[in-house]
Amino acid sequence: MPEGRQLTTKATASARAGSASPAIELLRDRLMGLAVKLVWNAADAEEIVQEAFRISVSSGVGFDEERFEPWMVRTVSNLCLNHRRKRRAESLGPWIDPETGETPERVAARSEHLVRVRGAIEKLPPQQRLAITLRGMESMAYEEIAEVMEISVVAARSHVHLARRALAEMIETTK
Amino acid sequence: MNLGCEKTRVRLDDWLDGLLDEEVRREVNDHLAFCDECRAMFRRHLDLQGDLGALGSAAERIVAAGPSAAAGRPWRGMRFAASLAAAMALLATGYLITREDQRGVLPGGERRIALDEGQRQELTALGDLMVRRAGSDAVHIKGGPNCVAVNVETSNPKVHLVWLYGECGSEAAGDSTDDGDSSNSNETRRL
Repeated sequence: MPEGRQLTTKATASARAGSASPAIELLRDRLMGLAVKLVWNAADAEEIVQEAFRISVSSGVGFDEERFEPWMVRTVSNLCLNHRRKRRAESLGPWIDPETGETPERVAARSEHLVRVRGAIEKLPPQQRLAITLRGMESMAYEEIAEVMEISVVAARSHVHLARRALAEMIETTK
Repeated sequence: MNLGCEKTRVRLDDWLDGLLDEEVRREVNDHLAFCDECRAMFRRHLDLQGDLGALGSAAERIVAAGPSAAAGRPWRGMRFAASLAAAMALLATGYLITREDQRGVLPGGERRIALDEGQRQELTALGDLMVRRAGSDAVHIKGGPNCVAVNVETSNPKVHLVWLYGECGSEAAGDSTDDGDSSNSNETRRL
């Protein structure tokens, strides 16, 4: 068999041993995290991340380019914002970290509250929704948010500010 | 100096983000100590910040658990895994073509896929992702004058996927999936 014609188990074994671009896998995990935070369904998120990789190939963006990661974050973000949910959002109960000594009732109440917060986020305009997700859940700096959203740092701060105000109001009125 | 309500509230975002210098932060805190309204407002935003963090942590746990656990039901099976494998196969193939085009290695006749070590490692990482996600053992890539066919073995021995990139005749698909078992499900996609 000609060289390179088959990506064999030998090759994959070397990747598993860490000799080949673990950075790609790390990036994939990061993108999955972001996508779940925006669409709240792991299977939908998986499809979106795969689609982003496919687009990167057809767009000719090289994996070795410095801009690749922000480009992928931006692409995944845009795909998520334009995503029409195919499956229902994950329930949050099993995924909440219970605090020490917290009763099941209290965990259930907190889960219910977080579902309300999640619902409020989904009602925000897309730019605000993305900005607050990147800032509040991904802990990204405003400079990074500006780069991903291709806007100025001032605009990024403004989107986060408006999103916070809107969310605080929405959550207050649903209490 | 004691800040008024307006000047305190203007600093809310920087206060939440920890961007205030020590002196201003102290002034804001001094105001909050005696102003119930501002304190309640800052409290609401602080709680919201905590909620966002909790949602972020929940999302990370969902990712760590994988799609099947997150959905609370068994892995969706071959259909999902196969589409995943196909997407990654496409990625690998397109990447190969891109790299070969860049290097100008596109003579007439069969397109050989000959990678240098760096390219091989990058492709290996992609292949590894693909294989792991699909539960497959191997990815076969074969070429023709204007075609690259990628045969993806999936964890279901009766399902093979063949992605054809470029102008491919039936031969490429037939060769890639010919394993003598007519019950096999061979899916061919053209791009």
